[in-house]
Amino acid sequence: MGTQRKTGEVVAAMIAVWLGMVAVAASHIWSVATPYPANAYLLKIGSWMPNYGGIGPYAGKETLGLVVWLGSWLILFFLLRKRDLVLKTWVYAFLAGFVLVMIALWPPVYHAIFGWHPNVAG
Amino acid sequence: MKQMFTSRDLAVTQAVVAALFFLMIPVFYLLGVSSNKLAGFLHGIGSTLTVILACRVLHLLYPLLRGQKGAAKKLALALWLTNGLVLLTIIFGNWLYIGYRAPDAVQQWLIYNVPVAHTVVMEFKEFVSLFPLPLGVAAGVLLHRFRDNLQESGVASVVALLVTLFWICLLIGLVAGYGLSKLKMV
Repeated sequence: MGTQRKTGEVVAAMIAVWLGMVAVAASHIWSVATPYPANAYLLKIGSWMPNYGGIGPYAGKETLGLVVWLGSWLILFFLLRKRDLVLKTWVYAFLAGFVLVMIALWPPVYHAIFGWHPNVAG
Repeated sequence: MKQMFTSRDLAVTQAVVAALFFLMIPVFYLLGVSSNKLAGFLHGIGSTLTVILACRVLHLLYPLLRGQKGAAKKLALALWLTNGLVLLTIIFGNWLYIGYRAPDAVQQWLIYNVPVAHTVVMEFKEFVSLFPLPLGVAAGVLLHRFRDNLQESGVASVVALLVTLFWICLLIGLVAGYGLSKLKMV
């Protein structure tokens, strides 16, 4: 019954989405900062995709995002499903986290730190 | 005299005509000289259709937030359809990306001629366009799990937030994608 569900489930879903976004952003920034070890690793973990060689390290960034999102959702669901959490706090925290990831992913921000060399590997 | 047309007639006409002509934009891809016509067309038509449907999803939030009966069901159907399209469009996007990254192809052309198009627009767009998938799926699952008490639990507001962010990310992807294809077709 839906009436018995706790808000911990909602928080678990929001944190998992955010962690998936962070995984995508962090893996990309890593590949900009240190392309050589990063891109080789990202290409390797993206190798389950058809034509991964053509897609390049982007395949690995997508894979990391997908695995972290779904994996953390599963874990957090079981950790939080019996807890009643204050949704308002978590909604604003999620929104702040979302904005932070968008800022971190805005290229002028991380290129200002790591330089403007084009990340030709994608 | 009784009005010949209702406001609903006008709204439906505008929506249908706008959607139809909006969907014509990616068809221009087929007239181009690209060697990735099919992938480009499918990615374009997928993303355009996704944004049109996502606008409908956003509108369906209004009755949900007002607590109207049956609103959640309608929203869930449109949302899951859009989620399916988001996934398909990401797959088509990956396919097109192979052509984008190919040697002597668009990525290299942009870096040489319009560096900001690759290093800022593409580098931002390719990641932001992935975010609607987790946002939309999370909203769909929460709609289903809390279907009996969406209002009292506050989950309707969470769904509204997730869907709004979902729509914003989709628009960023669509506008950046159209912009890039105006500079150089894959």
